[in-house]
Amino acid sequence: MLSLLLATIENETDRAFLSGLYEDNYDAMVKKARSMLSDASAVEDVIQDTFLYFAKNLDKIYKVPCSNLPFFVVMCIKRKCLDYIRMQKTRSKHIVGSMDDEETHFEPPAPGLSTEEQALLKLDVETVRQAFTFLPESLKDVLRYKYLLEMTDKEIAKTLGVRETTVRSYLTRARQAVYRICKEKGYVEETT
Amino acid sequence: MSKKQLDALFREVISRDAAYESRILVSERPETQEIPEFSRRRFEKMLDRALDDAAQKKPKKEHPALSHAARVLGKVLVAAVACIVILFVTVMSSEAVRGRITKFLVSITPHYAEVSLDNNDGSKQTEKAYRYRIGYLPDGVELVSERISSGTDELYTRGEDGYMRFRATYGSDGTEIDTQNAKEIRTVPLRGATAMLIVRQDDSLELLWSNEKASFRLEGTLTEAEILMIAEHVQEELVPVADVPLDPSLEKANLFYAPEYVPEGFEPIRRNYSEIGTDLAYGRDEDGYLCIEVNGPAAVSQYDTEHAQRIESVTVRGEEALLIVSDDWTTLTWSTENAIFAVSGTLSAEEIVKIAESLREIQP
Repeated sequence: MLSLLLATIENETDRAFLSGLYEDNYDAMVKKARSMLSDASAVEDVIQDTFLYFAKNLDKIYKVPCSNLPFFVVMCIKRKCLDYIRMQKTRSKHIVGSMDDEETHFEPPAPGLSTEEQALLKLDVETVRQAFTFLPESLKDVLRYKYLLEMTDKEIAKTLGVRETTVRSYLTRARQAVYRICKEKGYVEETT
Repeated sequence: MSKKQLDALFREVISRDAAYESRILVSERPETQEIPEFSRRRFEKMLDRALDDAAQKKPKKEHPALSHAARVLGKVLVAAVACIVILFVTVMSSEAVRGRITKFLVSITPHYAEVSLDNNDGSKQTEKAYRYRIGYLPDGVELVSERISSGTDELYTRGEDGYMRFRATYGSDGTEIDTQNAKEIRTVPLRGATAMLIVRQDDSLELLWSNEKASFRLEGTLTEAEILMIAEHVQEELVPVADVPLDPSLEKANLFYAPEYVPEGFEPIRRNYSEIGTDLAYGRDEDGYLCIEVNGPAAVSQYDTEHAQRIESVTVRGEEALLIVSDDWTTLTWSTENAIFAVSGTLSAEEIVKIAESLREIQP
C-alpha cells in the first residue's frame, strides 16, 4: 500500500515537472522546430517525441541543472528534428550539409590527446568557454550533443548521419579549434 | 593528462554555455505561452501513457531497512532449506526412502503398477522354508481356507460380507498393485520399517510390506487400526521344505501349452517344459521375437509399464487380460485358477492376441 502511494506521488511529481517544462519552453521549442522543419505538422510530432523521450529517461533529465534546462530542451528538440529529417530522407543541407561535405576529408583521430588538447587542459574553464562561443555552430552542436545531452558517439553518428569515427574526428577537431581560437584571440601565449 | 580530464573540462564549458543560452531563452520568453488546446490535450494524453508505462517498467524502490530485512530473511530461508535437505539425506532411513520411491512409482503408473520391494538377499529356498501365520485376529474374523505352496495364502471371512486375505510370498521380488481402484496410497510405519497402505474405492484396505525373506499382502474389510495390528502380529517360523505341503490343485494343473498359430517366418529358438511351466521363444530375422510363458499361480511376473503407450483390458480365452503396448514390444497377460499366461514380443497387439487365442494344452 505504501509503495503504491509512493509510486502515485512519484508519478504526480514527474507529471508536474514535465508539464512545467512543456509549458515554460513551448514557445522556444516551436521556434527551434519551425526553423528546422518545413513541414508545420511535424513540429508538434517532434515536441511530442521529445517529451516522450523525457518521460522514459527521467533519471537523465533530473540530473540536468535547472539553470541549463531551457537550452537543454531546445537542444533535444534540435536533435529530434535531425532524427525526423533523417527519417524522412529530406535532409536540410544548411544544417548538416557542411558536415557531410567534410566527412571524406576527416582522418580518424590518433589515440590519446593531441598537442592542442593537452594545452587546453592548462587553461581555465572560462577562457575555454569564451573561445567556444566562436566555434561554428556545427562543431558547437557536436560538443553539446556529447557533453550536454550525454549522447554516445554512436547516437551522435546516427543523428548526424555520419560514421562513428567521423564523430570522434569532429570532437577532436572541435577541441583543437577551441585551442586555436584561444591563441588567435590572445587568451593564451604562444608556446613552442 | 587524460581524456577524462578533457571531458570534464568540456562538460563544464558546455554546462556554462547551456546556462548562458538558457538565460537568453528565458529572457526572450513571452509573458504567456500560447499553447493550442489541441497540442496541450495531445501532450497530456501522451504524458499519461508514457508515465504509466515508465512506472510499470521501473523496478520498485524498497525502503532500505525493509530491503535489508528481506535479504537477511532470504539468507535464513536458504540456510533452512539447506539444513532440511541435509537432514533428509542423512536422517531419513532407507526404508522411508523406499516408501517414497514406491509411492512415486505408483503415482506415475496410474493404471497398473509393478513395484519391486526387493529386500531379499538373493538366497533361494534351500532345505528349510519360512512360513508365516496370523497371530492376531479381530473379533468375528474366521479362517475359511489355507493354502501353502511357495507361499502362504489364507482367506478369512467376517460376518456376511466381510473378508480378509493374507498372502506371504517367499523369496518374491515383485508385488503387483492395482492402483486403479485405489483412492489413497500412503506409507505407514510397520514392524520397524515402512509399509504401503492402500485405501480402495470401496473403503477396504490393503497393506503391503516386505522383509529380507518375503513379501506380504494383507487385505480386507478392516479398519486401519485392525489391519496394522494384524500385520504387527504376523508370526514367522522356519519349517523343513519337505513339511511344506504342496497345493493339490497345482499337482493337477497342466502348465504345458503350445501355440497353434505363429506368424509367418517365426522359428522356435527355445522350448522349455519343466515343473515351473512352459517357456517358449520364437525368432524371425534379426529383431523379430515372440515369447510364451505359462507358470503356476504363485509365480510373480514383472511388466514394464513405464514405457507403455497404452494399457488396456481385453478378453482372451474367456478371461480378462491385460494388454501393454509400447514402442516395439507388446505384452498380453492373463490368469486362470491354475496358471498365469504371458505372451509377448515384437508384434502388434492383434497378432499377440491371435497367438494367445491359439494356445492349446499339450503333453510334452
